[in-house]
Amino acid sequence: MSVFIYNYSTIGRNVIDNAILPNLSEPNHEVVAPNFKEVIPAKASRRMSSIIKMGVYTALHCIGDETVNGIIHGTGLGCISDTEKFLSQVADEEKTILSPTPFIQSTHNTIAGQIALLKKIQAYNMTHVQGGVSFECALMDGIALVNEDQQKVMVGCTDESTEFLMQLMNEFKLPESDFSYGGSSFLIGSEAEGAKAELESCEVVDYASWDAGSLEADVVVSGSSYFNSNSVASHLDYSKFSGVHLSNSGYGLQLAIELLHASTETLKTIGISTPPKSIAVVNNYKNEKIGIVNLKAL
Amino acid sequence: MKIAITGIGAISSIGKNVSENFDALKSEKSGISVVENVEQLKKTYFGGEIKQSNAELAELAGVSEFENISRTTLLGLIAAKEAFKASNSTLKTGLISASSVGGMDLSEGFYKDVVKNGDFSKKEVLKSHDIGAGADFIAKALGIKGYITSISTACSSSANAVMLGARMILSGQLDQVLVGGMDALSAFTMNGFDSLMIYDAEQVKPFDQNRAGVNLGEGAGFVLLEGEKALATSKNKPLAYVKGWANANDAYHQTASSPEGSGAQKAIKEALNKSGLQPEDISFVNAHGTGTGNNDLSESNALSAVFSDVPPFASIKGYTGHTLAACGTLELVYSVGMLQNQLVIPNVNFKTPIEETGLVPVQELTKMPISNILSNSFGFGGNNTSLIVGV
Repeated sequence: MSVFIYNYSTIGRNVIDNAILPNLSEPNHEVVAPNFKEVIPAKASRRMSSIIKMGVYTALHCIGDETVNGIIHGTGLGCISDTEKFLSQVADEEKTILSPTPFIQSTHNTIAGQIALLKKIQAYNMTHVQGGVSFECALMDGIALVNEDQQKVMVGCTDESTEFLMQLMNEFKLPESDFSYGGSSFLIGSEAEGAKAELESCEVVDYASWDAGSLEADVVVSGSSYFNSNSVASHLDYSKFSGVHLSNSGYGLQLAIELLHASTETLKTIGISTPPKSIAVVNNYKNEKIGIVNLKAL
Repeated sequence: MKIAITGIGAISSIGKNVSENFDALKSEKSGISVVENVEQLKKTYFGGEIKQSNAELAELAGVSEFENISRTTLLGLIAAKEAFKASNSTLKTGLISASSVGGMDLSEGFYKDVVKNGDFSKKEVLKSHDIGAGADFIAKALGIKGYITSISTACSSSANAVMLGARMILSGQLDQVLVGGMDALSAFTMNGFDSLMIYDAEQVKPFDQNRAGVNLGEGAGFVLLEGEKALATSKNKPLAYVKGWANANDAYHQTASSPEGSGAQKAIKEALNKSGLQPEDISFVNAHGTGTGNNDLSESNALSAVFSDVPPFASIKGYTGHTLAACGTLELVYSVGMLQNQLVIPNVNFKTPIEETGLVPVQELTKMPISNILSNSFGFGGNNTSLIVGV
């Protein structure tokens, strides 16, 4: 069965009004937060940490008024800021009565759970946590679900940054300024009508046995979801614009969909001479795994 | 197509392999004790603690350098090794692991060093923190290279891993898949459940009117799932079959279940639909039965709503404690044992039925014909999963 992508939403560096492509000529390191209140009720939003807000925002933004038959989320580290908050209480010997809120919200499936709660969606609800290929794992689950006759499925990914993580970057001697955060959501399903692209396949393969020559797409966009990963030969390295984080392959996928709809003129500015009929989004995670999403123009 | 269980592995506070676990269950021996080896606890807690040190677990797991490998991963590897049978290289083999807090048992100590003393010297333990790293470590140890993912949906995590594994076999993406869950005790989770005021200061009392919360436990359970193609090649003998599965969301509250258990009802009904079985075909229910006021009432109401006659049911949590992400597959292993022995393991610490429902769990070791077991796992985030396993 063919699987299609209808809608997308991304938060990250160089994303303005949910578009990435127009902002590539003058990239910066700033993440412009969207107006969360537009889609998340203020009362719910106040309690949410950055990752929950980002994950819930992109998902609700994508879902709109659609009926969704599954919510699948991927995250490499999950709700790290709430985890740190609760750990600080645990480590504080003076503290005998702990506030449960950060514990409750530290669970990896808080994001998918909150989406279900806010939209009252009782359908399949799943969270994949597999390092820098968490998004690909979630997307494979989503494709399988569409193939099991679920018409529309929400697939997303998010990772956040905290001061403590920045400190750790320093400790591990990793380039802090490249480390970023963000997330993406995609509404996928089985009907071609209203789709922006066809989602041909998604897989994760072993880096050591992977042959870059096996890619058949007209255009390749690639990126790294972790530091010190070799770059994969491509037309565009999306991680230069998104920054490095464990969920940035969602960013790469949105950029690829934008490329499928870009004008010849825009494509020329990034060195692509012919409008592509197919694009591969390739994510190198630690030189251990390669995530590959194959897209086709409609 | 049938999804066969051809390998099982378990470690918990009642035993370090499947046979020790099942022997303890048959002799109704609980593994709940005062937790001794977890630092940073705010008070004294009962829990299903495995008394072996990390060094002893590492030896069992066959891991020589273990200082930066989380206890969670060591537990997972022990159970995974027991369940996995080296496969024919032509088969597409995958690994789906599950955990709620991954390597927290090590990272919480590191975090304390940092906030108390600015000491980052143990930072290498963080490489074992994220849940995916545990799955990758186990996959590498067992030589599994293809599809590897981890599920983290709180207490339903490993039941979801089973469901995902079955779906991956049905869709033809995998021929066989090792699925399981693992979690070590940690101050993070124990103090966490206590902060919610759902940690019983005494021994956990599932389905009792006077239940006062969970006792957490640690452990891992893994099962090897195989489809018809894999069975023809591997010649492995099916121990039982996974016949039905479903995940539904309660969409009611971040941590609490709806009083009527609407998500649970939906999961149970859809799992029955998937299996093609009728409610009366369920011989026994392995309940989630955590011992919290909220879960046991909600689950009882869901069972009463789906079944006109609620089948014999019991919770295993009084033996192992609530092993969080591990409980779904650990209890699936126990369910396979109950099917093989045609024997129901009773609920412990039960005295008074819940007023609102009057339901009474099985309280004695019972020999009875069992063809299908419904196994429930419900988690935070309204995440409800039901599996049906049968002969």
